[in-house]
Amino acid sequence: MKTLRIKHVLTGLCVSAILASCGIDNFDEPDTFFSGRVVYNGEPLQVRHDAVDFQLWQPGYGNPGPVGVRLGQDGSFSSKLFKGEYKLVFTNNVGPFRTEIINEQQQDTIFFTLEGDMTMDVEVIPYYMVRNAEFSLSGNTVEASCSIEQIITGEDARNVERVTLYLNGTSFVSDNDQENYTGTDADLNNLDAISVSAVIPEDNVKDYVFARIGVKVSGVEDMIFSPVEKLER
Amino acid sequence: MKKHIYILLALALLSGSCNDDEFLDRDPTQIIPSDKAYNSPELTLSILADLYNRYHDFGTVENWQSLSRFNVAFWSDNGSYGAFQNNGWGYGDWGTWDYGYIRDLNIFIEEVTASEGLEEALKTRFIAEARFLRASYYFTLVKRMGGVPLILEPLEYDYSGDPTYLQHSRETEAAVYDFVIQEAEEIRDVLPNDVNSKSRASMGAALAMQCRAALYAGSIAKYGATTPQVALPGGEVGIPADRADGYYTTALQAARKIINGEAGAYDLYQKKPDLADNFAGIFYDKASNPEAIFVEDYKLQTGKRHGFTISNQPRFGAEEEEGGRINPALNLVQSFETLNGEFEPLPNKDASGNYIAYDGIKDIFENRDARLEGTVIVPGSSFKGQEVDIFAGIQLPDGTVVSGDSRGQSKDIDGTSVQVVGFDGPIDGMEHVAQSGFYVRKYQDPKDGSGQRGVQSDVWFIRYRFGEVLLNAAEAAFELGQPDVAAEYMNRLRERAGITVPLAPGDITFDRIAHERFVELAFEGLYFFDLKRWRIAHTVMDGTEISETEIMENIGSATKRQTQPYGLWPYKIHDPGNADHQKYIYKIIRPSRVTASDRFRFGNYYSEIGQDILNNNPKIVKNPNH
Repeated sequence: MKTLRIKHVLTGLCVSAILASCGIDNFDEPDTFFSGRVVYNGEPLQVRHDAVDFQLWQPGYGNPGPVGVRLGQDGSFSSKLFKGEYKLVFTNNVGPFRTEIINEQQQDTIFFTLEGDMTMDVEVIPYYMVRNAEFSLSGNTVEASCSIEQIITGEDARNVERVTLYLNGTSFVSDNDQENYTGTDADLNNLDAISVSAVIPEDNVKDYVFARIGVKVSGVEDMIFSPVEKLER
Repeated sequence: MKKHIYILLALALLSGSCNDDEFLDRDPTQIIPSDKAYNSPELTLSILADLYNRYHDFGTVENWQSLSRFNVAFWSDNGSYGAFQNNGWGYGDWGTWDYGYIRDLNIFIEEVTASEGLEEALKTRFIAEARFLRASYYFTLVKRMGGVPLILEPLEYDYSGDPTYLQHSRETEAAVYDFVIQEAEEIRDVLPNDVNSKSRASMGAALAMQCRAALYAGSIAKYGATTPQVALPGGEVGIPADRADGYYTTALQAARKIINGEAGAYDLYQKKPDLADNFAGIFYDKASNPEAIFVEDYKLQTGKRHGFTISNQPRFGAEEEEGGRINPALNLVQSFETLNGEFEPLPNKDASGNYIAYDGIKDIFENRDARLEGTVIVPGSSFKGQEVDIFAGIQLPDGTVVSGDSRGQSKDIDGTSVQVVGFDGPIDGMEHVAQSGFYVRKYQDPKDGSGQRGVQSDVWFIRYRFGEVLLNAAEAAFELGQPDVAAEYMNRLRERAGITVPLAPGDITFDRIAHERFVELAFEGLYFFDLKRWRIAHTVMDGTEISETEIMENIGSATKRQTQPYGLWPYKIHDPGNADHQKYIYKIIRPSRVTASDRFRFGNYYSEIGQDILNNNPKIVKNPNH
């Protein structure tokens, strides 16, 4: 009888210890969405999926460390965060664009306070934009045309290294070779009237194809793209 | 009353037991105090041995992957396919920040300097050796991280609560290279001028380090101009272009001292009549080898041995049921020139596109640079007296291929049982067989037992060798506008490799220099730094797939794409009655486990400095593109 009672007491103690240990010194999980797009004049920048990123810094919690946020291929981002004050900085030389200098002291760092779900469009200046991209599919050949508009001119201007039409079987299309099954470089004679065609490889049996034109700017790692377009046979 | 007596008794005991000073104040038995350690030559040497042991290598025989990165080989190992299925590397890869090691070196130098029990000659040598190791590690740091804080004495914290006086900012990249070069200059005459001192620093080792460091600095100064993105405004990364010539001159002078024999009788290893065996011998022949300058040595039946041969031996008939991990890629194999000194893809098809049938499985590799078979085990060659059995299948006259999915499998063809695949593969996706069609030979130990886990190998790892010094000299001379000197040095290596047509001064181009280093120094852990300092890594590995036609083009070009490893598979023709029966054809393949291509980003040129380091020292600036 006595041992039984001790067992009960011990079990009770264990249960209460387990219950009590929950909740203490545990933070609530982050619950606030910070989302938005990286844009030029309100138009989202089309980039390679998961390649372009920026960092969020939240001051005031011990050793600082950044929260990395990566852009989707349509220039959108989303991150679940704690409420508080944040600083947003782009990694150096990342992306096919330059950041806007806000003022002398702040440089290009963006300050914001997260109090509830928030969307923000981050303005940047790309080197080029792909305009009027049009695609058509006839048989196994994708024909595409576009014009390339130079945005940054003057001292910081950079040349176009190549313009490439990429095709893929999924909606992820980029210069990442896992995100395209073929790519054809365009003739660069006239950037205002680019036309290029690419042939779908024979082993691709799907009756649709995703296409996208990318511009490689010399000396810049990440390409800028047109929006992805789905073409049906 | 009794209580009082007890208390008094206890007090008396306590006070009495404290009297014996000797009892409490004893020498520790597990720690050697520094005044003892640094007054004994043996103990000081053992401390130095530990410091030698902590030398940081980028590539080493203790880690087979570290010698075969960047698509010069396919990795036939189930756990390693991931390297061929992703797009590149993290910014933190290859980073190093071991200031604990530097502190220990600084303490060693300080203590030995202060020691009174050591002979003066011994002190001088110990200090020079520690300075050599310290300069070596700063060289490692600057290669991977760019300019770093130069800490040359042990730092002590004063417990004042304010550690800012311990925070040092980064030196410029040039300043760290200057430090390495200057240290080598100062210690080289103090170190023993002894060819046989290979695992301890010698005059030759100091000169070889100086030569390599100056060459690297010179090329960063010259070629860094092509990638302005890979530089920092404070010069922590990037060297001004006008310093290039000065560095190249230093490199050439240091190399010449070794070549002219001022540091001892170093020379090319030329002991064996067979040129391929001779080249392989450089890396395992430890008996009076004139080529090795500074090595990491190993010894059997001690804790210091390694399993490079176990990891990479041809699996068929091996001493353990494993091996074959490094499979040299076709990209490398076809880069070896013909004996006439010409670039040529391995001829697997004739002009009209039909496969060429070869009588012997090895015939396709005939008349090639002897370094090919000194570096690579090709189908039909032998290791430890046993011929490797590499063929991918049986080619039937109707165009079909019969192959197997287990090593050495036999199948029924026309009523007879025929072996349809080699015991060494290649079988696509099966680890430890030659999935590219090749095994590695360099650094494999031909001794009995080297492939056994209980025995392992004592082949040394060569950090500096005479062949590299010649190439460094050739490159520096070429950059200084002395192609005749460059040609002379390169021809010495090419002659050893059996190439009959020497290079003329007019043949020397940047691509030639890069090519010679690519084939001579393959699997020695130096390719990575060549790609970085010439600033061509992002061109060579641009994240674009290599097509089958492209792989055979532009052989010998320094900027040829190397994003994926390819292979070359032999097939045996089965066509009784036909002249081609039992002959071999070769097909170019890409192992199916290779599903992505590598992209070297600008941010990979210098490794990321950890956030903890940045937090601890706000004076440290980040590397570019991070």
